[in-house]
Amino acid sequence: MIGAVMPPVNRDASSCRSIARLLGAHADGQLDAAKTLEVDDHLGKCEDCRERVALDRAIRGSVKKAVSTTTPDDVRARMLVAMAGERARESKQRAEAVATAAMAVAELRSGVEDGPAGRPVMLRHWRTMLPLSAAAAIAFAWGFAGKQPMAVGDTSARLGAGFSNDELVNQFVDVHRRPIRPETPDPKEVRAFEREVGVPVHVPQLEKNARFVGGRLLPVQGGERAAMLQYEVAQANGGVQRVSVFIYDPRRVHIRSADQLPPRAVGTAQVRVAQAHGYSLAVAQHGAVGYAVASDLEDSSAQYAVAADRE
Amino acid sequence: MGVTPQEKGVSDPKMSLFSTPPATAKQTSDAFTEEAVGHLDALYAVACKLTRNPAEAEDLVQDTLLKAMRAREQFHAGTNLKAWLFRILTNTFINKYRRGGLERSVLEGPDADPLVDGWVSASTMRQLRDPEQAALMPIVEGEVQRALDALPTEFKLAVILCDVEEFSYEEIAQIMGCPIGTVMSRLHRGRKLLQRSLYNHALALGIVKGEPVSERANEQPADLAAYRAKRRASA
Repeated sequence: MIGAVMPPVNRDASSCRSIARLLGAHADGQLDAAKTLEVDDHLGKCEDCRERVALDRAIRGSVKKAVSTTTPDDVRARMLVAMAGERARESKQRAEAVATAAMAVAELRSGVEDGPAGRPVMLRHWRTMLPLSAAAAIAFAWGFAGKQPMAVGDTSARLGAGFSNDELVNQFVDVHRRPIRPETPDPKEVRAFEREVGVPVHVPQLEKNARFVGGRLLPVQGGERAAMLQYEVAQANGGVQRVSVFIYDPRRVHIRSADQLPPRAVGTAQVRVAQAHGYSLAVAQHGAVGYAVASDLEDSSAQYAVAADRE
Repeated sequence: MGVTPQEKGVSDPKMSLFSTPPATAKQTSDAFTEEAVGHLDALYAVACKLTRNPAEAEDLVQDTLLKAMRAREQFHAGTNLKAWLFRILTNTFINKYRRGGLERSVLEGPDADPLVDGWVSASTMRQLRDPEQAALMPIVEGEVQRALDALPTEFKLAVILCDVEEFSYEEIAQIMGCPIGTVMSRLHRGRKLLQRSLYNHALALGIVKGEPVSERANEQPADLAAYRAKRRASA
């Protein structure tokens, strides 16, 4: 608002000139109450200024008509295509980010001991690729990786069938969807799982917003065990997104369907993304350790909507 | 359907870029994108006036929307998306077409292009407009496009953002990256320039009688400081 303090009203010609300069802001509703009253008062007495206001309004109406246009259908269609392309590009980037995330886990494992100090370079790379929220990025990637359009050809249909037949993928996704209480929140005790799992089990620090909830052992095919590490990632909107990391011995526990998938190369590693129940599972192997990462399939739009509501 | 397993391109990674995301709620209802598309008409209309070329307007709007998508992490949810989009549009336009920024030095000097306020009589003003509605007489209205096109960019932009898109002065200041006082000045001058060319047009058509409004007279822009100084002087 403009002009909090007003001198007394002056009703001579110079007042008219001064008022005339405020007519625009008056019509725009941008004057404060005192000044609005002053202008209103003047308009009640000055025909010239009333005509100025009327002419100004007329010009506005005509300018509006002159400018307003409906976007032609072809232009609109091209915009939507460009934006869909951008979304697809982002999704692809995020799919790679998930793969990188999975690999970061694997790379961490190869570090001397647990903790992000194992491979700082890899970690930094991963963080660069996962802006703000790893889990949000992962969710995007799931959306992308998990929903290839069926129309692209027989390949996707065949692969889709392949995924859902894999018991292990189903089991990992199920247990992520309906998590069992962790046995222990203590990373040291989680590390002791390696006796059951058969490979070293470390608790990687996923990302600064990610909280390690706990770990547990999970019986899998053929009497084998996998370790399940549960994380919660704080979202910008105040919500929480869950991420589950599964660690297993790939010589004894095998995600069969992953072999049929084209790998994504991430650094020196190969990451495959399998799918079940609309969830996806990033699968990677590093050295002798198998890793699978699942994340909530949080709808990005819901997140944005919630964020908008709470802001 | 009739797709063979050997169909070419399926394994081509580029394919996934161009395959339309499936029409599930999750993929298509990116709220940000949808809200942005909701402002397409406004963005396109203003881009058309800025570039005066449909193809360039389309490029400008597309650049704007893609930039907004890439930068959406920086957008604070709950704040004014439309104003944010227009800020991107304005900056993109300036960067692309107006390397030197808006031409404020020439047109915003203290005595640049002053306009008369009391230039015509009330009855003449009345003759310019349509008594039936909030618009000019049709024959004068036909001149608005041209008069608007002839405005210097920053005046035109201020007028359109205010009169057509109905942004507040504060929003316009944010969009144009200038102080509110400058917004007021640009609006005032933009509107006066429009009035003047419409009046001169009406004169040329013989709709009104009078003298053509000349370029030079004695008026300061709608500047609050100047206004207050004047008030103080006259008090």
